[in-house]
Amino acid sequence: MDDLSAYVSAYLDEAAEHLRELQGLVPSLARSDVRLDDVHAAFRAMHSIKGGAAIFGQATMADIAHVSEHLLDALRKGARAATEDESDALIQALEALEDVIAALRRGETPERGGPQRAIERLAVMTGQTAGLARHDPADFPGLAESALLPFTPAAGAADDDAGGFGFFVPPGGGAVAAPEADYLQDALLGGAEFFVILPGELEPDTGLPMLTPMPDRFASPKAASTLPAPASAPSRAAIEPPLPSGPLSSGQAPMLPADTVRVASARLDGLLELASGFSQLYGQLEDATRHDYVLRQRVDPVLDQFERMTRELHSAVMALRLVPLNFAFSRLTRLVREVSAQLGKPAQLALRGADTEVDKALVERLSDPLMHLVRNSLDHGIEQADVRRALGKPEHGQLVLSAEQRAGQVVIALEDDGAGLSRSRILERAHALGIALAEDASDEAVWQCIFEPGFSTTASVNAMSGRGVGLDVVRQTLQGLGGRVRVTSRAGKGARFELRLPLTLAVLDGMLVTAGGDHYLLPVAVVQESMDARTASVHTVAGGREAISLHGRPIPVYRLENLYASQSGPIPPVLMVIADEAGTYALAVDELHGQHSAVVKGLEGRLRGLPGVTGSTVVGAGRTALILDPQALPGLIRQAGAQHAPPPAGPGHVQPEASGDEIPLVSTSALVGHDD
Amino acid sequence: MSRPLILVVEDSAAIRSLVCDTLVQAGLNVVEAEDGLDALQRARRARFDLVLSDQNMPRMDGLSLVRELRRIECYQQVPIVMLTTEASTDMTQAGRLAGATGWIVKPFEPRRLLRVVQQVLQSVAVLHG
Repeated sequence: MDDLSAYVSAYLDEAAEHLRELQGLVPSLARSDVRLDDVHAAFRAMHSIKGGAAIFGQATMADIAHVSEHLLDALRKGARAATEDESDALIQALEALEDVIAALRRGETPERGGPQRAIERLAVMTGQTAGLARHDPADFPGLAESALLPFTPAAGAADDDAGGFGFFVPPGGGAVAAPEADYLQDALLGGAEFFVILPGELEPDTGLPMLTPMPDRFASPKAASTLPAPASAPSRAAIEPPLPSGPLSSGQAPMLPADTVRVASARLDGLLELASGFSQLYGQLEDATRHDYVLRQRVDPVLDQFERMTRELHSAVMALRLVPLNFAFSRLTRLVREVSAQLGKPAQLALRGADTEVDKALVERLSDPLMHLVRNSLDHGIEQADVRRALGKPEHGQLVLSAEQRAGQVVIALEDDGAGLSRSRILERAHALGIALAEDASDEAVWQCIFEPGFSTTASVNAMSGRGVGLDVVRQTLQGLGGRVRVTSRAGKGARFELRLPLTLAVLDGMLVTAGGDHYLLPVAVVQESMDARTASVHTVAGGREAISLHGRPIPVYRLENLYASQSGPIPPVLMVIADEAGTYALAVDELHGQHSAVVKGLEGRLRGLPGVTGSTVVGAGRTALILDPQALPGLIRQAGAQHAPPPAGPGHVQPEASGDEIPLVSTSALVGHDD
Repeated sequence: MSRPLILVVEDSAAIRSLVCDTLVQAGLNVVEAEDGLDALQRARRARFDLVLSDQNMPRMDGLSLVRELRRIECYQQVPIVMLTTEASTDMTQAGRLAGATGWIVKPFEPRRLLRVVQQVLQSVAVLHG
């Protein structure tokens, strides 16, 4: 045991788990119908965070947990009732803990300001001196009545036993205090009934890891910031190699592990890849035996079972990655309070389905977009209180955030009962921004404009939801996560933002295609249809650009092979029609191989930073396919085309149709309002 | 007593690993339990020489475990040492009344923990042969 880091990372995982539980519990503490069980559970979770933090030398976490625990203790004992102020302060502490854990996991030194503010707020609230409990013999009157000998290292036993108080209860009562070292055995042999050993001071460098006791950093909040961070580097062990934990002597219990196992998510990814390997093997087996009917009759039952078990394995591994959405939701309660106070618009947030489970990685990345949407609803959706009164609405604006799993997707919706979106103002703004949009465009197409970069319907950029960032960031984040966002609105009644996401980021359902000899994967979610280029009547328009007419609408065509090198010549035979919030276009590829469930890998080495590509995956026989970002493709392919001379229509080129269609190839984002 | 067998009861896997590794490396045999109930079940299947238990745990807390163990005949003399953040006089007195042998307040230093465990085991060996 020469390194504490293994324990620390296990501890951080545990702390994060307790934190998630707390994030689910704390927002409800101020409610009148709060269950006492929940208060106790919150206390226990915080207590566990504190206990581990102290042992593993995480002073900041221990300090935050200490003041939080103090408040929770008062709440569970009924010594004080929680108002929104209390639950707010606790949420602030949870956020500070979350940030510290995140920083420690990244191997960084946690930022000090957030924890400090959270600690001071709670300390003031509970009237604590904000100092951690230091154990003093005087705190133990019952044990230390008689013969109490406060220990000082100078007066004490062997040097290496400096520190630590032991209390022994001799037969017949009373108590003696002594440094625990040599006295413990004597005391026990002498018939002491009970001993208590309190934590001692920092020990000098020894063979075993040295755990840093918590410094008394917040005894004076002002002085705290000047104190150095606690030394946490464990000393290298100079102890004997560990003894093998050999077989136990007969008659003894086998060495059973506890029932919970924690694993790094990288290991889960490994399992997932194995599971995918199995599905590929299934495909190959199916393929190889396809034409041998006699053999097929014998192996079909086995193949069926193989396929079913592979699928089960897959979903079992996937389930391991899921965590409840609490994590992303809990911050929002506080955000609503803060923002509504700042804007002077009273509002309430109700949460539904916070226990819906999604991929852990997804939960973490959803936090920002959700905060953004909540801010946006408060700022632009909810009316001022006097307006609401005049309209006969309840004075408090109502926000409802709900989540549910639906057919392999998670659907998160934020609804408000505010004014709804203004069609006329959005159209006006869209025209000012040069977004091509007909006056009679569908509502949905109009609403979708608010996700365009630079869009804002308020005249003055508000410091609150503004911050120079628009809803386009929300859409971008969602698309980066393989999801989509859409908005519906009813004038005067409110708006509803609906986010749809895959349950996981680890697996992508894609269409496997080849272009220019390379394999690519297109997310299934954006593929509207595929068609034969020969029947689609591709025509060339101004600048050598190509287009087709789809359901009576002109759609630009891009050749995937032109992504990295400009090619001309006959149009590749397969057109994939890609439709997302930003528009519709057709992507010309050489071959469509069908649907493929891919285990997503990051890009490594020379592939890193490759434009238009979000990841890679292995597709049979060790071949790599690049996962494409459909939204980025048109721009990139146009760019590639501009760098090389625009290809003239080659000899084998499909001749333009006689129709004089003017194709508005301004940008795909102009082509809003696709059917789906 | 060859190779004493110790039951470590702790719901935090991180702390449990630290305690167990510390003891195992000193040549002690260790069985892990993740709460009081788990510990009680394991204690009924094997005879441990020492029980080291946390106090605050789900399903069954440490002091309840102590009381349950003391009702089992072969555990009446077995040292049970609490290892917990709880440090109030009320709690330690409750521990004493429940029949705990000793009380170690977290945070602990692994080396000191090991020494306490060894001394307790030795005194048991001297007292009971």
